[in-house]
Amino acid sequence: MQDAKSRGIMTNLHRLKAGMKYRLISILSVAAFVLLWQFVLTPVFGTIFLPPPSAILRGAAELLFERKILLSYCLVSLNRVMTGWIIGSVIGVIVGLLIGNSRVIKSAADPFIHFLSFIPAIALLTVFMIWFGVGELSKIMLIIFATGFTVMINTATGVGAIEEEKIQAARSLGASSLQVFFHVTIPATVPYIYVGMRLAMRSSFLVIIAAEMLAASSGIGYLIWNSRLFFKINWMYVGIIMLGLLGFVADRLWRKIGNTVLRRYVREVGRY
Amino acid sequence: MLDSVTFTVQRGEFFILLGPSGCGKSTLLKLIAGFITPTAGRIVKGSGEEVSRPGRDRGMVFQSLGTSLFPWLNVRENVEFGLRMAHVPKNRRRAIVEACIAKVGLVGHERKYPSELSGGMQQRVQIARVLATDPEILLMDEPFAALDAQTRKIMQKELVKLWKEEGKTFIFVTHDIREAIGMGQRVAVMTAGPGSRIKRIYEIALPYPRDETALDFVSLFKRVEQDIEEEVCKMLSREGL
Repeated sequence: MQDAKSRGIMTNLHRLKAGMKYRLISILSVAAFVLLWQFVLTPVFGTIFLPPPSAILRGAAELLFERKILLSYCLVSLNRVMTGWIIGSVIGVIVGLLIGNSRVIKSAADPFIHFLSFIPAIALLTVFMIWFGVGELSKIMLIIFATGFTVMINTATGVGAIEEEKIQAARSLGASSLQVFFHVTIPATVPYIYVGMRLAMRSSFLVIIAAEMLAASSGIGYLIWNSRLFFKINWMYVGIIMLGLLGFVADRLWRKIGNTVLRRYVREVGRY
Repeated sequence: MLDSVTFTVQRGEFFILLGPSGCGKSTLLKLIAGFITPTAGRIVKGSGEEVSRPGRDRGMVFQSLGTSLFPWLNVRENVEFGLRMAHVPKNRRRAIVEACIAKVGLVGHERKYPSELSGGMQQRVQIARVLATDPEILLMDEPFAALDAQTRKIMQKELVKLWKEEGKTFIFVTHDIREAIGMGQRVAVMTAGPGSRIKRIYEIALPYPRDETALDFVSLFKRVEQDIEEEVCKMLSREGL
C-alpha cells in the first residue's frame, strides 16, 4: 500500500490523478459554500447577523495592512500553543512511560491523574494567574496542563497495549530490560503518543483562545473578544477563520511528520 | 497446569511436542524459553545450567502473525535486532543478516515492513531473526498453525531442510499429527490438561523427506491419532460434554 517503488509508474500516475480529482472536489465544495454564503445566506440573515465573505476579507486586509496586528496576533497565539504543547507533550510522554512501566508509580499517580484530567484547564485560569502571574507563563502553564494529561494517558495506554510476545521475542533475542524499554516499549508506543499529541493540539487551541479572551492583551482570542467593543463584527469572523486555518495547518504539519519522520512507527494510524 | 513432565531432548534433535489444545504444550515451551518460571521442578540445559530467564541461546518462534515481529522495523532490521542488542559491529552484522535472510528465502524482500508481508513470509522473518543470534535451540510454538494449507506444507519442508543444514536442536509444538510425524525425529504426545504430562514418546525412524502416503507413515499416524483421541475424549468428558 505504501511502497511506491513496488508499484508501476502507471499506477502511480493513476493514483495521482485520482488524488487530484478528490482535491478538486474539496476545493469546489469550499468555493460553493463561500458563494452560497455571499449571495444567499448573508442576504437572507442580514449583514449584522452574518457578514459576507467579502466584508470579512476586507476586515482581514484592515487588520493585516492598516492595523498591522493580524500577523503578530497569530504568532503570539501560535507561540503560546506550541511552547505549551511541546513542553506538555514531553512531560506527558515521560510520565506516561513511567506509569505504563511501573505498577508502583501507576498506583501512586493514578488517583491524581484521573482526578485532575477531568478538570478543564480553563477552570484553572484564575488560579494559574495567581500562581504564575498575568503574563505569558500562566497561559503556557495552562496549555501544558491541557496537553500533559492527554498525552500522558495515551502514552500509558500505549505501553499497556504492547503485545507480550514482542517483549518475549526481544528478551529471547538477548535484549536487557533497558534495551527492551528503548528498543521495544518506546517505538511500540509512538503511535499512541502521536495520536495523543494530535488530540492535545486541539485542546491547546481551545484553551489558549479562552485564556486570551479572559485575560490577555494580544492573540487571536483577544481579537475575537474585543472586536465587539468596536462593533467590528467582521474582525470577529477574521479571528475565527484564522483560528480554523492555523489549526488546520498545524494538523497538516503534524500529519506530514507522521508520514515522513515517524512513518515507520505510525504506518498503522497515520492514514486518517 | 503441567504435572510431572520429564523428558530429555538430545543436542541437534528435531523434537515435537504434540497434544490436544489446552494440554499445556505452549506453557511447556514458555518454561523452556524462560518466559515463566516453574512452580516446582527444573529445566536444565546441556551445560548443566538451570533455565531461569530468556536468553539468546534459546530462540523463540511464535505462532501469531503480526504481533511478534517489530512492525516499525523492516525485514532486515527485524533480523538484525538480536545482533544490535549484542552490539555486534555493523559490517559483521550485515554479513550475518544477509546470510540468514538467504537461508529462509527472503532475498529481495529486505526493505519490506511486516505489514506488507504474507503470513508465510512473516514466519520466515521470525525464523531468520532467531537464526541471526545463533541459538543452540529453536523453540517453535505452532509457527505454521495460522498459515494456509499449501504454505504450511512448503514451510514444513523448508524447516526440515533448515534443521539438517543448521544442526541445531529444534523443539516444535503442534496439535497437527501429520505435521508432527512429517517433521520430527521424536514426537512426545501429551495427555489432556489440567495436570498434563507426557503420555508416550514415539521414535519416528522414517527417512526424510517423508511421504505421507507411505504405509509406515499411515500406520504411525493411526496410532498417534488414537492416542490423541483418547485424550480429547477424556477432556470432553471432564467438561461434561
